[in-house]
Amino acid sequence: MIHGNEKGIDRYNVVVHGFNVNDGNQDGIYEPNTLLHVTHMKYFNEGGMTLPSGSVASFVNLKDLSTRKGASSQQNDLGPLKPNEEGLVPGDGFTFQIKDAPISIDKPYVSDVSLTSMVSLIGRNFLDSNVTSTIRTMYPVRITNYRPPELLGPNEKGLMYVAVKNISKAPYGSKHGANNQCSLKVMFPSKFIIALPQHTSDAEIGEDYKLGKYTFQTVKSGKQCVVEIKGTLNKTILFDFYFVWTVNFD
Amino acid sequence: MTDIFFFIFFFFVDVQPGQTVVICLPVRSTPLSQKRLYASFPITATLILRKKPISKYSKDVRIVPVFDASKCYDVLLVTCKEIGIKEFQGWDYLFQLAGLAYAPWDIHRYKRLTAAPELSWVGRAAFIVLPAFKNTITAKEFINQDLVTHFQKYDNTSIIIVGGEAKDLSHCLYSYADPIASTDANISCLKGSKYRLDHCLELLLPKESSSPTNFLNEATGSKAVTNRVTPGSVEENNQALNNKTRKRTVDACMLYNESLQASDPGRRSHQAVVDFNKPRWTFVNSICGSNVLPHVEFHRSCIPADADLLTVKNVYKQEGHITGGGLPFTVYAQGDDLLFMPRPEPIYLSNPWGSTFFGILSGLPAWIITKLMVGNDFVHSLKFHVSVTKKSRFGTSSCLHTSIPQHDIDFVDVLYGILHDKISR
Repeated sequence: MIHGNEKGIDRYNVVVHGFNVNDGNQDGIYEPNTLLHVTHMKYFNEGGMTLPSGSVASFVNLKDLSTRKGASSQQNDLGPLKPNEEGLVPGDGFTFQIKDAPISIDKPYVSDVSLTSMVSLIGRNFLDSNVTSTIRTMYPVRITNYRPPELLGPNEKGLMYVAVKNISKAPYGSKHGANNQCSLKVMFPSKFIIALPQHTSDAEIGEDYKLGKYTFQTVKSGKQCVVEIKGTLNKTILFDFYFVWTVNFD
Repeated sequence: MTDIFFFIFFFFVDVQPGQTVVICLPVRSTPLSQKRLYASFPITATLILRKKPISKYSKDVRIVPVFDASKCYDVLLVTCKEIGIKEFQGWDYLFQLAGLAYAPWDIHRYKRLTAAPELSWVGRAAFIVLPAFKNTITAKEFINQDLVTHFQKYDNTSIIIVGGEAKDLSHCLYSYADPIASTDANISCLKGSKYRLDHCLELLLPKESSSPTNFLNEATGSKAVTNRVTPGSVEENNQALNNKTRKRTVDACMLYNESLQASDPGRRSHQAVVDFNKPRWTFVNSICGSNVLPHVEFHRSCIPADADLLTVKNVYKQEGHITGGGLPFTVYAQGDDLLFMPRPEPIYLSNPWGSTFFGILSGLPAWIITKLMVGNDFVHSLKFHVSVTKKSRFGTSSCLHTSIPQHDIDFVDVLYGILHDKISR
């Protein structure tokens, strides 16, 4: 085949060798309703002739992903690429928005999103440039054990356990900034079951509470009366039938 | 019923990568929960990340009463998670009508039905009522020793299984500790001879019609037409012979059981334990002669023959549920109290609640029934409905059945019927 000054047994063909996918906050977890960045998209000309300029790189077959508002969904004009040479798609890469997820019930949220790379020239797709990547989406923190008492007698005390795990590479909690805040809201039918204002023995308190890994506060939505107690849990206040108090250790 | 929910927020201060934080929170049921026994209340936890709820977990907490072993009760009601607040209200109303003080024993709270020395229902309740549920609790859970103590130490006691199988109670009758000595298990010569004649003659006296070959053919259902025996047919024949011999062993055991019961001063029931894998005594040999397996031992019932072990059948096949077919009352709330309002229509004795009520009254001793008859409580003003019943006048011939039309009776009639039955027995 002859094209201009070039001769070869085959024309040009683009193969995508790979691309990097990163989550928005670099904690290693792809969360719903956050950004997903694709960078370092490498393409390779495995044909016999130079790929002319004017090729377009983009991502298609987006599952539960959308193009970020205002951002370009494709990179125009990749430039010429000689046979057996690898190129890097210019620019800042691609940014997608992961679809938001409804609240999960009685299990952690886990889903998949996927995207497929594509390089085309004058509207014609190079089939070997289609590389699909499937990414698991979930949240960086999850409840791994939820165990309120199964039964209680009238006016009987019990212990409730909730285990929350951080599965990401970043620390979470208010100590690590507003973007990493997480909390747990526990709701009781206060007429029949209440949380006790204080632990009655050291064994009940639990190691993580002693280590200051969490604090707690009770409120009744709409009508709040917050009493600050420093250091110990020894005060309660009744206000308009709602039992409300706050504990601050920080 | 309006309910107030309150929230407790846990703020995580520091959860390092890969780390799990365990929250431990003491909770307490309020004294008001006494008025909602067997109700389930949800405790819900919502995990919030950057002010966005991401997952929600919810589990119910059942309000189950504590058994007070320091007190005595008329009735012990064995409960499980199948019994919710509505079901429990049915039981509460039933015991109130019958004038019986009761205490529940929840199988999930105490994990089992066997009594621990320091916390035991044995000796604290006269009548045990067990609503049976195949997948949760049946009469099989009773420990033989508990029942023996219950019936032997305390008179006028009963055990009533609602919606369960009578056979589930059979294990309670025997401790299997001391088999009856071989000398005690004699049967009369007359019965033994008759049995031999009916069952074993062809084995003892081989003849053309009772030859071993014909016997095998009879067992396998094939005709005696060939003398050729293939290896396969030998195996089949051996199996058939074995099966027939086992059946005869069982038949012989039944003969012994009847004989033992007849000669027992208390007319207690007896049970033969046949274990073909473990040779025991030679009872069967004694009447059947050779060729019969000696693998049987006999046990005498540990509990008195007149002990009331009652089973109430659920016509709706809903096991121990008594709400099927409706309850004879409605519930209305007055403040925090739930009050019973009896329905004006008669109580159907055929539906699960009615038959259970009847069953529990039947389990009461005659003197209590008599005492109830002369009372003048609220229950005496109630009417009970009896459905159409068929009564066989002579034998079981269907042409001699008479139908008694449905009719209403009052409480005294119900008690009179039970008393009449007790006396006639």
